[in-house]
Amino acid sequence: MSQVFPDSGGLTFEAVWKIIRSPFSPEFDWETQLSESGLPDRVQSVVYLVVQRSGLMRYEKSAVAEDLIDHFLDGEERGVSFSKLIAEFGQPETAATLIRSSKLRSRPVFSKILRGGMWAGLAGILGYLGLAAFFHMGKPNPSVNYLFDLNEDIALIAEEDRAWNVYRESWTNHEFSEGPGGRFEEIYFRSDDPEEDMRYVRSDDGEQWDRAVEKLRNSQDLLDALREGAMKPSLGVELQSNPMNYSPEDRAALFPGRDLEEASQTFGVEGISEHADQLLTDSLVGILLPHIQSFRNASRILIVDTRWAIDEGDFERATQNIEATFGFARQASESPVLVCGLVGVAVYGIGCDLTDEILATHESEFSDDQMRRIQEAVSRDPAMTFIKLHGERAMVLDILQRVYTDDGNGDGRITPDGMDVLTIIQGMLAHEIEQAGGFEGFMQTVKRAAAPVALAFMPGRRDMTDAFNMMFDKAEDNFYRPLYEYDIAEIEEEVESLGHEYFLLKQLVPAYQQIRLAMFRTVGNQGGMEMAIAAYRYRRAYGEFPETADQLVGEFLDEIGEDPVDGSQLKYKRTEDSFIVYSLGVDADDDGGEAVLVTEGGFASPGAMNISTAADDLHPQRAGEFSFTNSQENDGDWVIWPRYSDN
Amino acid sequence: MKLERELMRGAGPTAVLQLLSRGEMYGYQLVESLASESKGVFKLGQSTLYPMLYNMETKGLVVSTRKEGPNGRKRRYYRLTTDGKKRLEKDREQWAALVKAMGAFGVTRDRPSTADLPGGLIIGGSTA
Repeated sequence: MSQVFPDSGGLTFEAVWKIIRSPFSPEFDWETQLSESGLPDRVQSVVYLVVQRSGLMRYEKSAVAEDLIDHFLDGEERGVSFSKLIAEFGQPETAATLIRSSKLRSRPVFSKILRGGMWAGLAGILGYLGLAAFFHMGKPNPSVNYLFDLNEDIALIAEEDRAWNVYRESWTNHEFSEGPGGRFEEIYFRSDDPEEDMRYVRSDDGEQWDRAVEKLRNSQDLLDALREGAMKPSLGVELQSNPMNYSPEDRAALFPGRDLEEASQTFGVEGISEHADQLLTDSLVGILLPHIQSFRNASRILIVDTRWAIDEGDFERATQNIEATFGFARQASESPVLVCGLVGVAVYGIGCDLTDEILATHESEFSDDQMRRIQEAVSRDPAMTFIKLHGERAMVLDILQRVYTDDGNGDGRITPDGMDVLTIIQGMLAHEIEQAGGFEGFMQTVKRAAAPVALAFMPGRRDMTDAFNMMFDKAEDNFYRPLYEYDIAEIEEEVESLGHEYFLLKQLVPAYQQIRLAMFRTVGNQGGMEMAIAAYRYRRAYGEFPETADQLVGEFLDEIGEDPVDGSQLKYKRTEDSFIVYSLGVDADDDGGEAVLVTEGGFASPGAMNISTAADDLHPQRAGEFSFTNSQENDGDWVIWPRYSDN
Repeated sequence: MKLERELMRGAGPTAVLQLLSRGEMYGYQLVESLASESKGVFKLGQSTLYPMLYNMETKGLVVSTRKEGPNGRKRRYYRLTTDGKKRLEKDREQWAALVKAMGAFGVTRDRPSTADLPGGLIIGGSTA
């Protein structure tokens, strides 16, 4: 007797076991049973038809077949002909239907649940296959050449205005871009003292200085080209996704020592379709910027060369180097790509440091004309123009057209290639593009299998594009407003509040807060530096520094620079024997030029300085470290001039 | 004569239970007995009998055992369960009442007096 589960609706171990082994056990091989029954073929046909048409599980068919075989054998044993038995049996189809329904009723609950689950699963699988087929039919069809848009202005630059025509040959000869030549390791001072940070070498650094000078002496053609090229209004290098689109001469200068014809030009991520790889490679995300980073290196080299020039008493070369550094900043930020703008801002900061260093110690040795030229170099390109946002919008819209289908009306659905593109972008953002293998490979396979689900939860192309455009519009409308007029964190919060389905938007939205701070640091530096040089020139003309900034305007300064904190004018304060230029600083109120003090561990207030003025680790906040995010806790002003620097 | 399908649906299981009340029987044996003892009235198509047996087994009225018969060949034997016996008893009462009622109407030849009709038998929505 079989064991019955309590309240199981007839569920028995025996029944369950039968169901489980039914498909495999020879015990339920009813066809063999029938063929070995000894019944004539025509009877077997009837039995076969009934059993087969019943559509029951294998163990149930076996039981029915047994009964029917017995039936016909018993009838024949009782002397009834097979013909008569067949005739009296009735319609096999009817029998199959009745037997099926009666057997289905007799099934245990477990079996019914299993059967229902199978049907539901089958329906689910079929539905999913349909969804997958629909998903896999989708192909992105990029139709807008955003790269052309980004290069449009650069393409119009006259040849004689392009610095690249000056740089190219020397960059090639010195393997300056992305090559070992660009490193100029000799210009860095490396102390054996672990407490001392790496810095640029100075004339009192002994052998290290000698090595640096020797290196610079052997690179004169490069330095001359850098100084000459930096005076050109433009760089003139169009951006390309595929380096093979550059001329052979440009390739040799931009990618020295790299055999681009042999190298793969795609991302080459394992498990990603070739089409997706190509889509991304051709996108704005795939743009290569080897020349932009080179401007950082160029400006660092000119710092040391300027120290050498000062050492030699060559103030004209020092002036040209300062002019060149600010020219690099302009040229680096020529393309409307965020990275270019950020490099431009960084290089501009290097220019400010260099100017500060030289004027602090040798201002009196520069001619009036050289001072005027330095001031012009500082103010030539408004700092607000370095960072351009529309390239970021183009980049995102370019990604969208490579991720979604295009229905011709601005809408579309996510595609398999698009999912691959997103996977690569996610990896790029997380800095973890790896060749998938083992468990990772398995998970990648699972992700790909589940990819069609994205159709159900990812916003369509129009919704995603609208969300992006709305966010970018808001950013462009407010990005350049003074810090205290608009808190750009509002945009980031809005983006964060969007649902998970907008994960792509969340990943691609730039870190506006940090970018904006970088730009405003530059705005402050520019205005402060201009005013400081103007004040020095005033002293040359009138024998002392002016009492107010207004005295500078007209003869030495076109206008007083804007305080990026609140949009008011930067502040000038005459001191006993000098002057300071300052911004309201992080707390947005005028503390009379009292600097925010910082320690290694964080901020301290001017009051703190009164308590421990002897503290060696307290110093004014460096101009380049102005941070809006610490505003609420820090009393004091952002002193732009004199700049604090320990480099 | 043969019964209409609707009548057979009601009467067939009772007839099978009645036959099994005498002892266990196998499928063909039931077919044969039903036909012969009813003089052809219950001549079931086998396509009807086996589903009927399966249903009765599901309801717990009969149980089946596959075992060797007198001829040495295995076949499935059906026998009544306790529930089957109870059901048969109930069916018998209902059939008796029905026959009497039908007789009262003159449908059957044995016409009982209305006093013989059991209370509670419902015909045509009213208590007869």
